[in-house]
Amino acid sequence: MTDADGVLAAIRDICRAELDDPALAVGETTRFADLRGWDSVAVAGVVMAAEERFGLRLSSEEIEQAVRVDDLARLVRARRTR
Amino acid sequence: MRIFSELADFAPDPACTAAPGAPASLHLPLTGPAVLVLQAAPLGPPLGPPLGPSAAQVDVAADGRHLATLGLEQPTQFGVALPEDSSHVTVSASAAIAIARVRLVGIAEAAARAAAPAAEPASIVEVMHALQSLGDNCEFGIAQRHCELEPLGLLRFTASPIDRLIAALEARFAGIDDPANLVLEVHGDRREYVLLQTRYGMRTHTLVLEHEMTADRVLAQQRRKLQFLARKLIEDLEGGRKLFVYKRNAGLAEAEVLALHAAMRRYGRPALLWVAQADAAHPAGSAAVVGDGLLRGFIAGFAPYETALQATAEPWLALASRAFHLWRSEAPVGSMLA
Repeated sequence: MTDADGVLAAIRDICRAELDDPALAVGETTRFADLRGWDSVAVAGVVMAAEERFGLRLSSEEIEQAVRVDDLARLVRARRTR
Repeated sequence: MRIFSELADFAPDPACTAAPGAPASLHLPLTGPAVLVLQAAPLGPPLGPPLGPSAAQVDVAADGRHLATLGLEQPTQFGVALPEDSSHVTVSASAAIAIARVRLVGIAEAAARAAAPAAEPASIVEVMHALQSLGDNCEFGIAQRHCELEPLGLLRFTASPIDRLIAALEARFAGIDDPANLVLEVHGDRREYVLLQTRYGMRTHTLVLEHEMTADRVLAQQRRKLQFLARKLIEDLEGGRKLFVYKRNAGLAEAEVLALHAAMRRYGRPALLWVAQADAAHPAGSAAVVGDGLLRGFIAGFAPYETALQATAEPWLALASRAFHLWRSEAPVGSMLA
């Protein structure tokens, strides 16, 4: 598994855990807003979990710009290579 | 329109205190109406959460005329409207307090001037994303939801009295996730969990119903969320990328708004949009720059508190767009869009 695959898989797992749906379909191009049950509680939960999982802090601007799963994955990977 | 300009802002030297029988004196010769904003804290018992009701009763008088009485429970800022000929202000307290900072904000009448139209109008999504509620209730947060936005916001679904909100800002939301300060309540026919943060008097919709989750799990989830969202709010206040929105259905006094604005300015230069109910002189949807980083806007009417979750976005959209333009274009004080 590449690092990119690992990041995507971790984000998928985070979404499923935060939205309490182990079968939730989460693909690379999935828009967070299209996930069933997505609301501000879910936003906070996913961002907090992602920060903990990847050991980074996301700014409000970065969070607002992460519209799709791959936006967040790209952000995480970019931070990791800094 | 009434506009506000800072006349003085200083830290008293030596430290200014008031105690029983020993009021603090401030000499402030004025030539017009003004609001005095004091940053103050109780002295004596160690400052921590919470000090309890009315740790100190504070009375403010100008030239022998009593102006205001308030309870000072924790470090905060409060505003007092001064008569225009005030020259000598005394601050009396039933228990020792310290006054760390004094701001004097002058009030003047000025003719409004139309601001230039936006060169590149922003989309309503961009506008509603740039605005962030400081509470009172969930009405603006619901308006954002109608625009398919779910922005992070500590106070987006929160009711908090303005004096407690100011104290929270003053304390940088310290202890916000302390379990000793958190109580979970169940509200309404839907039996929704509502979180009460006792130190700052914040009641927050969790949007979780009683049958959906155990109270322990909700509390654990909310504690984590509070800590995270307080951090985000502080970042947003410091970052200057948001226009913060505050209103109260019954209206806000100028002194309250200026104290809130002063508390926000402890973080940098965040801007505040103070929203009031429209009237004959202030049409619905209009907005004006009334001070440095301070805008005032008007909407047709607020949703009743008890039905705010069912509020619609429409009353907010025109106001939000105009206020956003004034703020983003850094329009000078006195500029108005209607």
